[in-house]
Formats: sequence, C-alpha cells, structure tokens
Amino acid sequence: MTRGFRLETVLVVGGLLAWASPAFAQSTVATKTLPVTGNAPPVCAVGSPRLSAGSQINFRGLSGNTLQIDQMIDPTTLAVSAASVDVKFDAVCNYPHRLRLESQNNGLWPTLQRTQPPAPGFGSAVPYRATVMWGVVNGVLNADAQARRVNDQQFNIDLPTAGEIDLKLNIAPGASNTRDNAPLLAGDYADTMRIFVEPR
Amino acid sequence: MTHNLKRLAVLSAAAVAIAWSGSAAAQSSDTDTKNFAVVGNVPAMCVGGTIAGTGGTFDMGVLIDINTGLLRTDLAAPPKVLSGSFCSARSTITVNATPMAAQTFTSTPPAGFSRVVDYTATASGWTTTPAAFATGAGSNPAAVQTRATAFSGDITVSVGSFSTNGGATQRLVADTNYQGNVTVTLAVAS
Amino acid sequence: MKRLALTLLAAVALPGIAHAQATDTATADVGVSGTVAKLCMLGTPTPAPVDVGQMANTSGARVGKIAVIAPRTVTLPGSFCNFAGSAITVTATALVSNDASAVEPGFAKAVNYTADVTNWAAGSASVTTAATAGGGSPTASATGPTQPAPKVADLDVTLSNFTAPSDFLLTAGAYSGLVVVKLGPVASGGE
Repeated sequence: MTRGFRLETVLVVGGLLAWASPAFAQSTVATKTLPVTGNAPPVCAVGSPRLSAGSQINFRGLSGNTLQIDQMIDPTTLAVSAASVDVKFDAVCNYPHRLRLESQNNGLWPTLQRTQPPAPGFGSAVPYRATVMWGVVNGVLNADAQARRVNDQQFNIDLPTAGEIDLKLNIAPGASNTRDNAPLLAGDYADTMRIFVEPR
Repeated sequence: MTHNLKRLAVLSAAAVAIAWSGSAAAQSSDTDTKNFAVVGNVPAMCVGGTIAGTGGTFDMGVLIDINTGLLRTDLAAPPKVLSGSFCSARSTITVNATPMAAQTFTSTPPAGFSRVVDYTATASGWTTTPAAFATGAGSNPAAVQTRATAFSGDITVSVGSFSTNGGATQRLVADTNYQGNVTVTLAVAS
Repeated sequence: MKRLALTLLAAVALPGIAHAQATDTATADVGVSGTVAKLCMLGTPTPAPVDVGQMANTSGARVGKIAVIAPRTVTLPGSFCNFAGSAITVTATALVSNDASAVEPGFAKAVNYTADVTNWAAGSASVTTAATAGGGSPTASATGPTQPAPKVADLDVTLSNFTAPSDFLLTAGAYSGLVVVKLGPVASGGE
C-alpha cells in the first residue's frame, strides 16, 4: 500500500475582516461648563434740576441750583404773592430704596439772623408746600414755618425705579407764619430743599 | 552446454518523488507557510480638556456704570483655553450659552429695568469656523461646527458683545449675583 | 515514459540454487532504492484569527492612548520537518486602521507588536513591527535559529508588546494586521 504525504496549503483569510462598529465607548460626548458671573451693585443717581417748561408762576427761573422768586410780596399789601414752580430731576435707583425730602429751614426764613424778636403783626417766615412724585410715590412735605428747623419726609419705594423726580413747590397767596395776609418784614428769605435717594 | 546468463539490466531506481504538490504556485515541498489575521478596534471617543490657571469662571465684575445705572460699555474678560481636548474620530463642537440673569431678583423687573444681560460665547481652535452662540439671538446656526478628522488641540473660549436684554436704555436691577453659563460640547459625529 | 513505482523489496534469494550450478535458472540482482523528499508542514493556526478587542483606554490618565493588551498565543500543532537544517521565518504586519485617510498630528493609525515563534529551534524566531504613525512600513520579517535535526512540535506564536508609534493617540475604527509563519530549509550560505 502506498503511503503518500500530501502537502496542503490552507490559507486563513488575512486582513480582510471588517468588524461592525466598535462597542459603545463611554466617552463619545465631552462637555465643559464655564460660568459667566458679574454683579450690579445698588446705586442711586440723581441728576441736576431742570424747570418744567411753562410751569412757573412768579419764579424767575433756575439759576444754578437756586430758584429765584420774582416778586415775593404784593407791593400794596406787603403780603406774600402766590408762587409755584415745577422742577424735575432725572434719577434712578436700581434697588428698593427711600426718597427723603428735606427742608433745611422748614419754610422761607430770613437769611440774616434777627437779634430782636419780630415786630407784632408782621410775618417773619413764609410757609410753603412741596409735593414730590417719584415712581409710585406721591408725597407731600408741608414746610409750615412755625419753627425754624429741619423738616423732612421719607417715602419708602419697594421697587427699583428709573425716571424723573418731580418736585412742585407752591407758596399760597398771603402765606405767613402768623396770620394769613400778614405783611412781611423786609429782607431776603430763603430755604434749601434737599432730595435724597438712599438705602432704607 | 553454453550458459546463457540473462542479465537483467540493473535497474537503477530513479528517484521518485513520492509526494506531489497539491496545488498551484510557488510552494515547494520543503517549505510550508501559514498565516492568521490580528484585528482590534479603537472606539470613537471625545475627551474634554482642562483649564489651567485662573479656573473656569468668566468673572465680569461690576456690570454697571455707577453714575448712570446702565450696563458698562467696556465689559471684557480674557479668553480661557481648554487644553488637551481630543476626539479620535470625526466630531462636532457645540457652544451653548445662557444669558447672565440676576439670581436673587427673580421677579419681573419694573418698567425701565432689566435683570438679564445678553452676550456672545465663541469656541475657536477646533474647527475652521469658530462655533458661536449669541444669547439674545433668535437662532444660532453657527453654534454647531463639524471637524471631519480626528483632532487633538486647544479650544479657546471667549465671551463678548454684552448688551442689556430689553434695550440699551434699560438699567440693571441691583443684584450681587448675575450668572449665566457657557457650555462647550465635543461629540463624535456619525 | 512510464513511471516506475517501486515497492521496496529485498533481493530475493532463491533457495537451493547453488551458484553457477543450475543452468536452467537465471539470477538477476535488482537494486531498489527510494528517496524521501524533504518536507516541512505547519499545523493550522489555532485559535485564529486573533481579536485583541478594544485597544485604547476610554478613561484615566492615558485616555485615548494604547491600553495594556495582554499577550496572545496561537498554536500551530503538529508542525514538522523531516530533515535537518530548518528554520522559522516570521513576517508580521502591524495592526493598521482600515480607514485610509491620513492621520492628524498627535495621532497614530497603527499598532505595533512583537511576534515570537517558539518550540522549534533552541531560540525563538522573533520580529517586532515598526509601522509609522501614518501606517507606513507596517511589515517586518525575521528568521530564527536553525533547527539541526528533524523535528515534530507544536509551535507557539506569541503576540505581545503592543505599542502605538510615538505613543500617540489612536484614531477610531477597526484595525487589522497579519502574521505569516514560514517553515523551511535554512538558506544555503548561513543563517
């Protein structure tokens, strides 16, 4: 019996196996988050006063920050003449705040201190009424001129507010710190109104 | 008697190949060759880089002009670099951003005020066209960009073009914490 | 021409025939010889093909780079040569990505490895591939020491030392390579 040896050539297919898409990798998506931060501090800002056009009666106008009354008294009766004016200030407060209206003298008082008590029958100070409108506030300060002192009113505002502070000053005819229509002693009279927008 | 010797020719054995080639080609009998394939795979993946130095937050500081209450016009911050990002396959880079919003004052602001600051976030260095997202825009088609090849490199993220949501005349409500977020996403693309 | 097939026969001695006595008998001597050719044969590689699976780390400090791949062994059982002076030649082709596109800087599309064929001669036949990151020059070949005697053995081919050129990041996709084992006579003139 013939025994033979046969050579076999068996080739394993090489290099041609295509695999399906690889197993799901855990990191096919990478995300980074970068915060962007900042702050808006509480600020209030009030601009310079300006006259509301055509609103003044018996006021000469605004000179710097001074409102000059044109004719303070009626020359026949020496009683105070009516005067009114409307002044506006651009203002903003970006947080809940307070508006404070302050009259330094509580009325128009003589600029020179008297050493003598005033003569009876004469008025020595002029009361006036200030109204202020700002955002939701509609407030009044009565400078009644009964005593020379600082007189102020505070109004709380719960919201940030931007716009105009509208200040109206009104001097009634014949106003006086004694009786109505009392004649006024001669001299210069003045008061200073201050508006504050400030934290509560 | 004459002897006739028959002589048989001595047969010389020819060398006979006992074996024969089974198939074609260059294979000779004294050599054999076998082979086998070796295969493997590398998964498609994206890995985000890290930010060195100052950390990952764009702190814009004070946002408003304290004299007017309006948004500052000079808001700027240095860009941040994500180093060591890579994708082993084709990928997309996506930028998303949320506007800076007051975190404490969350109610509707009164007239004349806003509690939101818009800005544009940009991620560059990954694709030819940077990916960009503007928080105040109705749509952001440039927010997704594609890179056709595997890539390893730095991504530079920057923020800019700040504006008050609602208009430049609106003021920002006071709040010590305005915050938005920029997200940069690398994803394997199909 | 006829082919003679000779079976091995011993010379027939006819009993009882005295030399030169029987005139009616003739004696003839027939020489018989045969040659066994030189033969080598390799067993079928088992288990094959070799799938090393996922080759890159998906997390950790070496994410994206080649992972530690355990050695794999393929056996060619019952391999033999029936003559002295044979040697193994092993030719290995690196695992190269099936994606034909070029690689980006910092990436490799090839994985090199070492193939050792043992159990034949006193030492192994060993080759390490040296493909470039771009997949160039993927094939390397080496011949092992001479086996001085005929031998039958189960050859072991061990694949180990899987590395990426320059330890670059690996591009995604399927990779394939090839190992070719040849057993044959040592080339004349030396090993």
